[in-house]
Amino acid sequence: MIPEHIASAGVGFELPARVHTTTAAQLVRYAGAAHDSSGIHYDVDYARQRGFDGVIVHGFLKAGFLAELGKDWAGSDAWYRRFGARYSGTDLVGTPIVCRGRVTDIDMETAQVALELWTESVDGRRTTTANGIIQIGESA
Amino acid sequence: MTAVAVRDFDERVVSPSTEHLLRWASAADDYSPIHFDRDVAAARGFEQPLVHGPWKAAVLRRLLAGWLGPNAVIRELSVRYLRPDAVGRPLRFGGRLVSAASLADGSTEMRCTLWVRDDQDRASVEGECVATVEPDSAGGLPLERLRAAVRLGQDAGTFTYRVEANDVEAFAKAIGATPGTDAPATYFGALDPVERRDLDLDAFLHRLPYEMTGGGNAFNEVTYERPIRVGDVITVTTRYTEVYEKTGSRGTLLFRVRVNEMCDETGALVATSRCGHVLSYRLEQGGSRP
Repeated sequence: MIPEHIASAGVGFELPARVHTTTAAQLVRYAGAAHDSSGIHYDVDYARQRGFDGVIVHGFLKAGFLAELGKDWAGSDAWYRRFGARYSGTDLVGTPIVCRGRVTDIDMETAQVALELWTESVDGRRTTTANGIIQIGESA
Repeated sequence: MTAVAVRDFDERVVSPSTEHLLRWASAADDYSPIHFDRDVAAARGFEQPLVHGPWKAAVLRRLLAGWLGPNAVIRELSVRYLRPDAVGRPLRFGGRLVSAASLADGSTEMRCTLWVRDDQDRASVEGECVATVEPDSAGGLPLERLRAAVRLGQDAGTFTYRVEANDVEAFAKAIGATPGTDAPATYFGALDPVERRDLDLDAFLHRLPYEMTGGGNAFNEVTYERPIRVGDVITVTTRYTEVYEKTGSRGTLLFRVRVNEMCDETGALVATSRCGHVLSYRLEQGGSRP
């Protein structure tokens, strides 16, 4: 069953945006939790050596921000059937990352909601774009 | 592992001049007067100013790079300074290849001993080095070698991970999510053997003789049969499906795409993910990396 707040929102509805301003501590916490030990996310010298302007936010972390934005909006019994993120730009640690999303499809029969989600940096670049299909209801 | 014959490199004789030492003092910011002030040297019992030990090591390292060729990356180098050398006296720099072993990724690991001897054949410096020599890549990225190294199209590795409550909680906190029994949708990334470096078949890409201008994940996708949950024991099988290059604004881009199948303890499929990773290189600049 598609909940009322999704059904009434309809296709094209824009989710309330969220802003995440990362900290070095958060990146280290994420690196530990995700077992991602790449130095570009905590070692500024190594990041520069690899061609970046400084320590950059994990693409996967931005994907996580986007996935949670959609899930929290969809409700407590929502889970992702599919989720995919593409990384087209980098964000330096400490810069605000605006997370946005839009409803692209609602299937009342299968109780699935399709979303497109993206991050915007303060200079307007879309650095991550994502698509998700959320299932409403109990999972197996 | 294949053994090769021990061989000596061509020795080179270099006579350190005062100019060499002054240039070194300036470059290394080491103005200890023993290296240029004859009176200070005399007061310490030496007839002449002494050659900097690290200068000898630096010359040795430069010669070593020539001996090993442009495809070599010197991974470890250690030297011991055994005696002082007076400026102006000729020094012989030499080295010997002691062993060479083929590694699984197609490169060769070479071990060498190194020395500097004075004009009375006394040992001034002794050292050892470990270098990795990449096969010739004919002026481009070694795609065929990479395809073989990652076992393109075949199962590359299988790993089993327990999904513990603490792990899911830490992950949820790190992305600002509310911890629960279901892991966040992007938790599949934490169960990726390549991200975890449990599976590391293409490490040699970081040792190619090209400048690396960037790199990272290009995309991540996942399809879930059900959410990953606390208490799951997930067996992940990784298969590389694509290896290709493209030319982009940051140089030549090298893509590797892998698929992970995640099954629970009953063997039922929980999720399938697809991850693309890219490294960018500037190919026109050859030579060994620092």
